[in-house]
Formats: sequence, structure tokens, C-alpha cells
Amino acid sequence: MTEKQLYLSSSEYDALARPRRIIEVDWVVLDGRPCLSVIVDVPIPVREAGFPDDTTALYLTNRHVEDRATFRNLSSFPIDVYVLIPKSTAETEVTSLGQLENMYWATLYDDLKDAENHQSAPAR
Amino acid sequence: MLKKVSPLFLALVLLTATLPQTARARQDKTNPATKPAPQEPEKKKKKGIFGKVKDKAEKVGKVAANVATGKSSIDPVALTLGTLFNDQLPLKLDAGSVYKEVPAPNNFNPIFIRPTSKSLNTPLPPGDYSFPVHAICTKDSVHVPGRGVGYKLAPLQGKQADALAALIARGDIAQVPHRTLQMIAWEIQASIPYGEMPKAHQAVIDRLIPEYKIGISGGFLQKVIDRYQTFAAKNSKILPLDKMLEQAGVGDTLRSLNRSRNIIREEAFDYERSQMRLYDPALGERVTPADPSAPSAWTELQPGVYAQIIIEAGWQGLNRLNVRVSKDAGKSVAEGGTRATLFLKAAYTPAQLQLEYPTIAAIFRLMPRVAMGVGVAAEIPYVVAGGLIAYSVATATQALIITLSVKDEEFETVYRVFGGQAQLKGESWTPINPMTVPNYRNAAGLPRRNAGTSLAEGRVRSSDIIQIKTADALDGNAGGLLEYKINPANVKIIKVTPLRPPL
Repeated sequence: MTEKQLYLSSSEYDALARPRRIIEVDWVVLDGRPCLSVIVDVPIPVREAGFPDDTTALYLTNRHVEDRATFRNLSSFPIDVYVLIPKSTAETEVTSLGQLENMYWATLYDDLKDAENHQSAPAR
Repeated sequence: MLKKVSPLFLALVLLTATLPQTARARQDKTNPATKPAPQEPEKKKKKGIFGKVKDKAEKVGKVAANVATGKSSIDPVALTLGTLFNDQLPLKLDAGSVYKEVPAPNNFNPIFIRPTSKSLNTPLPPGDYSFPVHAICTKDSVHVPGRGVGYKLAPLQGKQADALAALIARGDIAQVPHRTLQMIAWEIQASIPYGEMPKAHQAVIDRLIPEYKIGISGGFLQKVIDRYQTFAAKNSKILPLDKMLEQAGVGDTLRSLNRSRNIIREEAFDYERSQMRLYDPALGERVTPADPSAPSAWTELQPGVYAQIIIEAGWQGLNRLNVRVSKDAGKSVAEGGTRATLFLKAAYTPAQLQLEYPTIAAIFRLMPRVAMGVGVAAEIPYVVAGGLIAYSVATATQALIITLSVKDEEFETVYRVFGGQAQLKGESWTPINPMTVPNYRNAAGLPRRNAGTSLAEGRVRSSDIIQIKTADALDGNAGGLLEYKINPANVKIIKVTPLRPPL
């Protein structure tokens, strides 16, 4: 669990250009990989990709090797993430990454303004 | 070309070339110089030359008889010749020489460094770093490593180790094509004398490593032959040289050298044709690890400096060296830190001058030209004092010479695969041409909404690269691709190519 207010947006995909506020969040470990199981306030479009409905239930995990620890601890932002959704709506419980589809790249923020501006991490 | 080779040398080549494969020696376990490297493919064990020596023991005198009966471990003459052979080897492969393995550091979070020739003297305070490195193949007939193969680091050893490391490091700075450097490296490893190399390769050596030219001018095998002749003049019953070297446990190495040299000559020093034959088709395929999440081991390069090699593009492109510099790496200047401290004074306040941390150059065993006082061309600011080599951990893949990639270019070429929901203008780019990456979608972790129908190629000013990161693996996707974060406004698009079929 985290007490931080988190936001999700993407500079790569128009469908996620507008920030989503994360209203529920929980940690799950799938195949040994820490993932955030989240609910966002506005559905993200996946019907065009053949899914029956757009969805607010997402799984997020770090996109870069270097961000593993940062993601696990949510210790600094922004963090680039994979946005995953269950491949089948019949799945009631997701227990492995194989049940998920990698749909989008996005970025996790702890600040709405940064999410709106698609702020990149500072140069290192 | 053959006229330049001495008759004795030719005789040795012929002798060794005609040795039947079944005569490969079973190595004497008491001989420390013959420990088989773990990256060697497993070889069928035969009775070998040692058994034949036993059959002829009565003819070769008391010493050889003692060898055959086990009273003595090896003929002293063979031992002398074997030692000379090993000492003169251009590149010595010894997987037993790896640096001390250490546990993987916790929370490794590196800063990516893209070194330029001017930044090599930058001291590295305690922290995590990642450097682009080249990996040069050292051995033919062994598997080619693919992304994620585990390796351990070791000091580069051999009579021409410094020459090889300097060739690659300086060639990279001077932007000599990688294939040219690899070909010359193979020639040096195969003990092809400078005078026999093509003029174009001689010119590269003249320009990049002139101080090593004399060392690679004579074939080292001639020295072994000369020493053998000295012994033979005193003892007419001495074993033939090839059998002596077999007994000394260097027969396989000799055959490997001869094979490489013959192929390179037959293919007229052509890189493409040589490499096709140097890699045995049965072994030359790229090896990828079963578990890419179990990467190379961490080792201690020097006190307080730990490193891990990550194979990404293998010998065809850039790889990474992860480095953690701990507080233990600091040396007190007052206690005799060895480096000049001028640049430290420029970078640190007096209060921070108490400890001196290693520079990028020191970690990669590069030294300023002025410090070495050798006649290296003025355009080449650094010389190499040693170098790094990596031995594979569990798979039968080649040992790799590891050298730092130093780029002084102001601009870099970058690529981006897009299509569908993914637009041309985005922050994620890669310096690796996607068309050269097998299963690019997998390596880059492309999401489903990226249709992968187009490839953009652009140029970006190096200073405009915001971050350099690596795609993480995801449910069967190997990950591992190098990714640049760039404001798309700073990328000048050169061309956009439709991809049929999509990536």
C-alpha cells in the first residue's frame, strides 16, 4: 500500500495523454515481479484492441532495469511503467504475468502538474 | 606471401596440421599451465599423445621414461618449451584468473556515463555507474554470446594483451570500423607477423599502436622453434617439437593458432569470409541464456570497486559495464594517493580533498599518454596499461576483451519504432538499429498499441539525451535494449521507413 497520491499519464500514447488519478492501489507479486494493481478514475481505451470494454483496472510494473528498486519502494518519481490489463475478462484472479497483456507505456507520477506536463525525470 | 615464412615455421605448421584429431593430448593434471578454460566446448577424451610417449619411453631416455611411468610429471625440455610457448602467447586465456566474486550490490541504481576522451580523468565518487563497452571476440570455434549471457571479469593477460587492448580502445576513439579492429585483433592473436598483414591493417597499427609494432613483427612460434633447435643440437634423441608441445599440454592451443592463421591467410585477411570460417558452423550460433534474469556475476576490480559485465549486443555492438564505487575505494591524498590532484582540485572543495577516488581511466586501466611517455600519435590521448577480459560463467561461449567505448561525437544516430497508437514524436529512442536486433519487439518491450509499422532514424545532440536506461524483461520478453529519453523536439528526423512486415 502507499499513502502517496499517484497519477498515470503518457507522452507516448494519446490515449493516456490525459492524466489518470489512481484511486485504488495494491501491491501484487506476479512471477516474482512486484506489480501495482490499480484502479484509475477514468477508463483507458482498449476496445479498439479487441477488448469488450474500456477499463479502469490496470496492472503496472517498472519498464526499466534501473528503476526496479525505485518502483518497489516508490521512492522517487517519475517512474516509467508498463500498463498491463488481463487478456481475458473471464479472469477473476490474476496470478501470473502470462495472464496480462502489455498495452501501453506510461509514466507514474506523484504530482498532478508533472503528470499533465509529462515531466521527464531530471537528467542524471 | 609464403616466401616470407621460414622453412622451420612451415614445417611446424605442416606437422601440427597433419596431427590426427584423435591425437589430442589428455592434459597432465599436474601441469598448472594447461588448465582448460571453461568456455571451451567439451572435447572427447582420447588416449592421446601421452600414451604414445609411454610406448616409446625406452627410446627417449630416462627423463621421458619417468614421465611415462609417472615418476616425473613432465619432461623438463617439454616443460621449458611449454613455458616459453605460454609466455609468448599473444593472448593468454585463463578462466582461473577471474577477479574475486562478490555478492550483487543492493539497490544498484546507476548513472549512465558516456565517456569522452576529455572526461576520462573524471574521478568517480562513491556511487553506481554504467559504461558502454565493446566486446571483442578472442577465440574461434566457440559459441557467440547473445544478450544476457553471464560472464566474469578478469585481467587481460598475454604477450600482446596491452597491444590488443590499446588497439581496440584507441581504434574506438579514432572511429576505426569495428570489423577492421576485430580482424586485426584476430591476426595478432593468431600470431600473424606485422609484415604479413595487409597494408591497410599495417597502417592502422602504425597509427594506433606504433609502440607495439616491434612486438608483433615476429611470429612468437619462431622463438619456440629456436629454443627447440638449441635443445635438439645437444640431444639427437629428442622428441619432435610438435610432440614436445603436446606433452607440455599446449597442443590444442597450437592447433587452434594454426587453424586461425591458415583460415585468415586463405581468406586473404577478409573479415566477412574469415569470420564465417573461424566460427565453426556447429558452434558459431548465438547462445542466449535460458534465464536472462540471472546475469553476470559481480567481481571486485580493485579495492572498493565492483563491476559486472552485461552482454547486450555482444561483439556486434555496445554492451555495458556496471560499476559500484564504494567508500572503500577512496585513497587518502596525504597518505600517498598516486594520481595528480589538479583535476580533483577543480572538481572538489578543499574539505573533500581528503580522499582520492579512482577515475574512469583508472577503472578501465587507461593511462594518460604523457604519463607513459611513449610515442603515441598526438591524436590519441590515452594508452592502455592492461585491460579487461570476460570469461563466460556457465555456457560454452567466447572469452571477450572488454574495452571502454569513448565517443567524442557531438551528435548520435537514434531510432524509434512506431505505428498504431504510438506516434513518431515520442521520448523513447534507441541508439541500436532495430533492424539488427532479432525480435526487436521482445527486446524493447514494445506494448501492443505500438503497431511497429514504421522506423524513424534521427540525429540528436549528445547533450540533449536526458536519460539512458535499459528495457526490463516482462513475461517472456527478454528486455535489455538500450533506451534514450529525448525530448522529440531535439531529434532531427533523417528518414522514416515503412516496415513490412511490422516489427
